[in-house]
Amino acid sequence: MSIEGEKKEQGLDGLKKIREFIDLAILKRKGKQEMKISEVVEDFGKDLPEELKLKLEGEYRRLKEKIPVEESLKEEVEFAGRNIREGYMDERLEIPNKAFANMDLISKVDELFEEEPQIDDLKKVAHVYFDLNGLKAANDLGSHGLGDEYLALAAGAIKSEEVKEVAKRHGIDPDYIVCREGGGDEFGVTLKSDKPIEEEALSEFIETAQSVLWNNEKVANVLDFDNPEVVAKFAGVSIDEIKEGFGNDLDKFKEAHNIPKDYKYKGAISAGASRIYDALLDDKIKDKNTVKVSDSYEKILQRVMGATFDTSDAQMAKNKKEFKKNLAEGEVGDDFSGPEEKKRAVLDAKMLSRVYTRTEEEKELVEKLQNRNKLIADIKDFIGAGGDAKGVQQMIERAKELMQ
Amino acid sequence: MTLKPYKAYNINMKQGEQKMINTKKEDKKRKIPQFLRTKKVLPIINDEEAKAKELKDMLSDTAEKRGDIANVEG
Repeated sequence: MSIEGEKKEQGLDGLKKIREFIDLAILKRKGKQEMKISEVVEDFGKDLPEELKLKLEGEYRRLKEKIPVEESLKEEVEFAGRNIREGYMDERLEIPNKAFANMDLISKVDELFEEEPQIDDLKKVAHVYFDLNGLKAANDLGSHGLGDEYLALAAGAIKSEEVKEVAKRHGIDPDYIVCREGGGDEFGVTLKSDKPIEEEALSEFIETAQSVLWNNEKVANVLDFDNPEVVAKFAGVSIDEIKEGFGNDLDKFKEAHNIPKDYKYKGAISAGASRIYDALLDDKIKDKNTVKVSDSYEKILQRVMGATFDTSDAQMAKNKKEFKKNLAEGEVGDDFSGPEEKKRAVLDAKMLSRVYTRTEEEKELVEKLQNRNKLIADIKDFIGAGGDAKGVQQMIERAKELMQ
Repeated sequence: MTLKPYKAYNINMKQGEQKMINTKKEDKKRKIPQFLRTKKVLPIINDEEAKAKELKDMLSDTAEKRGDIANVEG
């Protein structure tokens, strides 16, 4: 064979090999074991709420189109799972956060508009806003870890079986999701029903959550009044005082500080609600959130969301204020099976009011001290910069006021 | 009013009884002191009727806007 012919033959051979390679790749690709969606969710979406699992599934489908290599795809899905978790979950409590609450409400409102609602249909979606009372007391007198436990108990009460049962009985979807709406002591749920949600249903929903938390004995561990450290902190003295002044007799110490010896701390949560209907008709938020004809659909959704959050928040704040007033006045009512139970309720009110007041006073004192320190620093700067005597005098007068 | 067959009536009676028992149980569970009770969970709306009329216009406008989006997407 000529050299030319040999080259041609080798070329054909090479092409044949490439063809075989391509065929093999196609064959392998067809037979490739793909990650099943259920496995993806199990591996990377464990403990995520259903909505976030769906989000992860969507991400997986999108990534699968782009990344054919299993290992790289796994890495990317894991990364997406982590992002979803970081973006929509509260790190400390491991429940959905405010970003999720926004998404939850917006998607429920969008579903509502998809059904081309009549006025009354705007009562089918409601947002309930909860604010946990006494978290600061749990953090200050107990510890931060115990504060988190208190928060977890509150979230647990809102999604307890008893509360879900109430939702179901009133035609509300019981698979509502409790979100931590803010970094502090606020929680929220967006409820959806096939029929207008009446105030009575929301009242029962809230009251049941309050009752579950109030009657949960585990809350007593959050601020344990059998713990000498907690009791000493509450009384505002050093723990040594119990040993030196009372021979380590905690009951005697409690008696001297007017703390009932069998007192158990209880959990209280304030709440307010708003349906889309109430939010759009509420005067208080009219200037800020009323929907305008010129708005786009996305803008309308955002405004409806803002209005609903604001209205339920305002109602919650109102109720929280009322709760504290009633608590201070010791309003226990007559819903008791006997005088003992009533006596216990009066005692609970009195002690709870003392715990809250004590923490608030402490908070005020800390603020005063911080302001005073800031003023002293300002005076030093003022003098350092050659400020006149009159200015210094004015600042000293202000400092005196703050120190009182 | 049509009379229900005895059997159905009996079942309803039983359901009613059950409901009453359940309610009693729940009442007991829901026992909370007065200071914790929330008197008004929703905001009070003034001139509700007039405002609801305004809202009706807004709703038809929103439906139109949603339709526009659907048309673009479609």
